[in-house]
Amino acid sequence: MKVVAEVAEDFGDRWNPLLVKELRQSMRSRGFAILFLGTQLVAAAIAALVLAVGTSEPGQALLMALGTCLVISAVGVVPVFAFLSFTQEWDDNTHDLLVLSQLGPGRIAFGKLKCALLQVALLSVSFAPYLALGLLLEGVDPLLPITLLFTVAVVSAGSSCAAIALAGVGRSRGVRTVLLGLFTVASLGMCVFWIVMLNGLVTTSALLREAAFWGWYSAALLLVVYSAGLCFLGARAHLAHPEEAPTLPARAVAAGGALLLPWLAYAVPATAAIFARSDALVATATFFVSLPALISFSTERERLGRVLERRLPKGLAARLLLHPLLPGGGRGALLMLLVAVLIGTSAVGANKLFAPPVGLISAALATDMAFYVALVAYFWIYTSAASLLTWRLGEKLGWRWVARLSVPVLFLGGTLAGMLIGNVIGDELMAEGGHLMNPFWVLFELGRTKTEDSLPGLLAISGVLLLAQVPRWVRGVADAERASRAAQRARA
Amino acid sequence: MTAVLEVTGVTKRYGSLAAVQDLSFRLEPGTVTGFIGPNGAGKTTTLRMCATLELPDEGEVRIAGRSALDDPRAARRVLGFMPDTFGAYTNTTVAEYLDFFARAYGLAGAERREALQSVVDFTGLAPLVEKHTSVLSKGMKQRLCLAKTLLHDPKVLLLDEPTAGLDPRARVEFRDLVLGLAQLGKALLVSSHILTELAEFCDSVAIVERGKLVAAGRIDDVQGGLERRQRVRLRVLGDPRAASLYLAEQRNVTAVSQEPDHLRFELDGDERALAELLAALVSAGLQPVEFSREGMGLQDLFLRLTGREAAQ
Ligand SMILES: Nc1ncnc2c1ncn2[C@@H]1O[C@H](COP(=O)(O)OP(=O)(O)O)[C@@H](O)[C@H]1O
Ligand SMILES: [Mg+2]
Repeated sequence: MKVVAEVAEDFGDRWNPLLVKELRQSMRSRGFAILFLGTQLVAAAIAALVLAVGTSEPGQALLMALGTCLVISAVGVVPVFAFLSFTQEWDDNTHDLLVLSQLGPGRIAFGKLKCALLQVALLSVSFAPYLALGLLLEGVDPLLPITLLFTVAVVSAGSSCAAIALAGVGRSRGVRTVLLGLFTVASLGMCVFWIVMLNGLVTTSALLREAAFWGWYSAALLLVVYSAGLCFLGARAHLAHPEEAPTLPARAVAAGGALLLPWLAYAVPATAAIFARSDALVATATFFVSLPALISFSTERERLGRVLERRLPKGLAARLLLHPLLPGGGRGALLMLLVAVLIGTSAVGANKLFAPPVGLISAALATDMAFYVALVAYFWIYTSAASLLTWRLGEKLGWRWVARLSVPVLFLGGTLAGMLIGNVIGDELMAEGGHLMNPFWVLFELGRTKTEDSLPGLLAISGVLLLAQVPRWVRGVADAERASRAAQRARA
Repeated sequence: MTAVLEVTGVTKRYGSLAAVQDLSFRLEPGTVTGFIGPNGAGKTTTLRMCATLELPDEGEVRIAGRSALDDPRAARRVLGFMPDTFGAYTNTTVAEYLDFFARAYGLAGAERREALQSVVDFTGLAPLVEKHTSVLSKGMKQRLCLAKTLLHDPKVLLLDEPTAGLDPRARVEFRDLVLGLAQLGKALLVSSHILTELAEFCDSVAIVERGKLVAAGRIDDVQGGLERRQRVRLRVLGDPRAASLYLAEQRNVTAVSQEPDHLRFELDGDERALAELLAALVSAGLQPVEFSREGMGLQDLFLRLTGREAAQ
């Protein structure tokens, strides 16, 4: 007996310890058991009901009901469990113990993610017989149940990544509670969105035979996977030692993803026809997905990493050049600029390569770029203002949140202020939102007409904000110089 | 002897509050160091910085000769940190709890089983391994925490207020565990806000107050340095005010206080200085009838060092 137990234990050595632990715990807790049995009961009841009532399209009715059930449990509830499982580490005072172990930040975050994935896998497997039953009934495309399961699994994993990233921020109980509230609401929203999408797919399953649909589908899932990756790296960064810019991987992905996603979207041949006429859509979607990460970078206020500090070239000129790239140097705003330039060039390049003759290929490069330049200018305006706010007020953590919130506030405030001014001076177009500080209008117009009336004004505002950062960079360099001199003295 | 933990000039600020200021000390293998200070003195902050959980604003922490700030993962392999709050999972038995952390420290197979067996034996938890962590007594929880901290056989142990809230018996048992660990060659840093609790088993102490080190060294030296200051009780025939005036003029006398029938004061100096002062009193015609030295216990020393509000 003892030998058997030892073999069983050693088998677990290859697993993530967190997974082993949570499995043991979940055998004793009721949360997942109730969810699992509950969904089973509901699924069985639905199947029985559909068969008994006998609707005109029994297969579709069954799939819609089961799909709804699966989405609610896998997309609505499992990620919330993942959130709670992570915040439990704070509540139990075990977070620091985990960080101190040899697990490392990546395996901690991944262990928590694997637990969520395992739950989704269990749910999916338990739904499989009912979905198979749906296939036996008429009017169901065999691709449909598979697409359904796959979509739910990917979206649920993505949501769990977001849950883990959010929970990692909640060192204080108050923040945790607020985040849980926000996340639950967001999960509900996700549920509703995917229920509508998947049910729509069930009723128009002819789409499944069209290449264009798969183009859109892969682009949408790509965005989900990409944002999930960003969230995962964010979670990892929060678990890492407060050393050496732990957000670096997340930055790299934010920049790299922004660069690659338009290419991938174009590269799926079937989608090219669609995206050639809506490259702006992909770029904007990508940008909005990266935005939370970018806001968080631009409102960071860390000291220089120690290793970085030691390796940095000395001398005023080098410092002045490098400082904006370092923590607290406004690098979030600069990174924004870089990312935006990358998106612009990448999208235009991809368009030139893949677009069919009807696309933008006939237009001049300058007009192609106008849209992206405007996008860059807007993001620069909002995030660099937030970055400046952080610099002035960011000593206290609370103020950093003020700075973060200032991005949407500036965005909405600017739009509304323009409309108000339009009303006062009697400019009808302005009053309806047709003005410089309404990014939606400007970007829409640029995408439609390919003229760049608003650009000079936007660039002027961006330029002023760039100049406003200069004192901060100069001061930052002086501070860094002083600190490194002090460190040298201490070492000597 | 070489130090396994070396803290130099460490400072940590929270906004305008300096929780720890320019703190330096070192730990040697096989020794127990008491880290003592009133609540809010910065003990936990210092321990967390040594444990790589917090980054100091200034200064350096070296563990086994390497910078713990530059290479936290290497430092974590040789250090064990026991926080002041007991961290345990719900729905977990003692055995599962230890097993989880053994895995988390990368121990596998026979190695893990041996490590588990040895920490359970050392801390005397064997009869409790099947119990749930939530039903353990405070003393047993403390042992479980210690057992978890010992799993990866660390060279440096940082224990934050391990004796707080323990009953006297559990405290004695805990002291024996700590002494046993020192005998195994580990370097221990044990924090507490009560000096007497640690005095009996510490080789040396570091006393902090408001983030600053006020005294450090071998316990005898710290005590000896403080014993140069003596508290004396004096009763004279006739008016005590004359004696009080006379004492106030002496250079090495401080803190003269007059009570209904006697005086108290503090003398900066050794026994010879005491004898000289007595002779001087007599030759000044003050007629002492009682002249006695009052002992300063450890707790008194601590109170003197850290100001009145300290203690408990
Ligand atoms: N995370 C923190 N944020 C702000 N202040 C803190 C934080 N941690 C500790 N402090 C402050 O630092 C000082 C030292 O705290 P601490 O190290 O916990 O003292 P001790 O362990 O000696 O009781 C206290 O005044 C405390 O309020
Ligand atoms: Mg403390």
